[in-house]
Amino acid sequence: MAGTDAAGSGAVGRLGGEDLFYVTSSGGIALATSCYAVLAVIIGFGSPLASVAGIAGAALLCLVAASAIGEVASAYPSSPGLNTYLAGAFGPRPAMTVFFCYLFAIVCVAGLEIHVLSGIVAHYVPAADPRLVGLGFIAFVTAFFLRGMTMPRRIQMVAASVLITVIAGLSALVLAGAAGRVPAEPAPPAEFGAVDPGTIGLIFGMSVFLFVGFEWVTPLGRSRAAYRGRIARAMRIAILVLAANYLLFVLAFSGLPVAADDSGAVLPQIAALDPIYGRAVGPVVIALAALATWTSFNVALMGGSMLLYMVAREGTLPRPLTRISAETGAPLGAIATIAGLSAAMALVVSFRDDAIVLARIASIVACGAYAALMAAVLVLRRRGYDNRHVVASRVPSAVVAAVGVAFALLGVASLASDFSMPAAVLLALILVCAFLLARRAARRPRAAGGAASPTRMTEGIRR
Amino acid sequence: MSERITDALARFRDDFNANDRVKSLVRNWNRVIRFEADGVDAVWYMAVTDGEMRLLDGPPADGGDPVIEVATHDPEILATSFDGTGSPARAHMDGDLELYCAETDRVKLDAISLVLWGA
Repeated sequence: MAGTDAAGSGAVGRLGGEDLFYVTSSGGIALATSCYAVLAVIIGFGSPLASVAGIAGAALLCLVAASAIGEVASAYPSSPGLNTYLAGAFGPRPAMTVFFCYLFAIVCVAGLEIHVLSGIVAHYVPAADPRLVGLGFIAFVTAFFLRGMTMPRRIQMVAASVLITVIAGLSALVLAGAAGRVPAEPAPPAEFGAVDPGTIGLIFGMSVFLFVGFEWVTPLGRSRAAYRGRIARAMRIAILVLAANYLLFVLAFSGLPVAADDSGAVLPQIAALDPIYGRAVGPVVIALAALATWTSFNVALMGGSMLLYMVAREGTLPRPLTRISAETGAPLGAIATIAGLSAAMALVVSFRDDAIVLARIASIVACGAYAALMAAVLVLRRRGYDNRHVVASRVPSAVVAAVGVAFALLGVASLASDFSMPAAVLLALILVCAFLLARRAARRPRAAGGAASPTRMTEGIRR
Repeated sequence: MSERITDALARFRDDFNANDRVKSLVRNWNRVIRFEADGVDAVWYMAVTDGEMRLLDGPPADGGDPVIEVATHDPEILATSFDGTGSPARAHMDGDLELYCAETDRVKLDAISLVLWGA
């Protein structure tokens, strides 16, 4: 049954409703409210040219990565994704280390997401306590997931489509109206591309953040056929749509006299909207932000919890992580753990003025994870995918290698450019925790067919 | 190999129906499970209805309970995953056993294998 097909050989077919689900799932997780906080920082560097180049460059790298990841996903269809792909190439411990780093990065993003959302609510409703708003939101979402409920696929599709359309429309309106209604302060042509060379790496690295998570759609295939090119194509479409959306946003808001808000507590673009459209637009903005956070959490928080549960149920991680609901099948322990860590992270950053450092951490970790995935593709290609059936992408190995190196360099540049001690400390902490957890999780005490302690494990099933 | 898989699924069904704890797990969880393996010219269907599992002679009528698809590139893995000698969860994590269903159905299947075989 082993073999290799060329991608795009006609089996992929036309776009249909199922493809829309994959596109919106891939794009929905990446399109978070915090992306616009990151865009504010990128715009704040003061060079529209560098912003556009950074976003376009990150999109290009992710497009190649999507094709390569689609290839490896076709060899391991429906598997839990990154963890399986890396384990297939490098063995369990390196795979687990990257997996836990990525999981912590998701917690960072979730914390930032809650922080930004609560800041937006507080901007329009000054009486609201941002911390209570943030904790209330995550408590509500967590209760929803603990009940075994997730956003239905159809609603996920509609929500992501509405988000992208409305944000693009808003950007277009600002772009069209900026010349007439906002005091025009265009940068002189000579300074259009001017930017501190030291921040170029940071701009490109943080632009990767805007696409982080696009590959989380790979475990969601509805059938084997989905892995024969459709999911890879959906990831590429999602990246292109997101890139177009972000570029339009940058072009629209680069023309406004707004300063970047490093705290990410309130999107500066929103403050800039007030004199144009008034505060009546508040409910729309809050609804958009909540929807973006919800669609992102729907895939990331639930997906992350599912993966954590699957690793924990091997019997090497603390037992509460294996707790599930017998009635609904929801992984209660893993959901509560990730939600709790996210809430704690949001609470911690709410007392600081550098919340955006969380996005930086997520960018660095994602760059490292994508570099590792590109290396995994090269290793698996050389080994012939262990005789599995695979749909090969058209990306040559040399290009995959170059993209992997580019991601690695961007990760390093994101850390080194405009060096941030809190970012370095948090990153070091994540690496140490991930390494220790991976060492424990990769022990695999239970041989196939042998139960290490079934009684101990099944105690986690709550009726 | 086809007979071996049929025997494995029959054992799975017997273990399932004899276990009260599993029955409590699948209360209000009615599903059809479709099994297939590369290189084997056969497809199997099982139905879980009101806490009882049974092997079907062929595909159920359209529009019934949600269908979970289980597939693998290696027929041996399908057999060992359901006769209690292998770990279906480990096979899934390793990318050897494919599952096409809702996320919570994955956890439910995992819980069933955990209760039956501890793996």
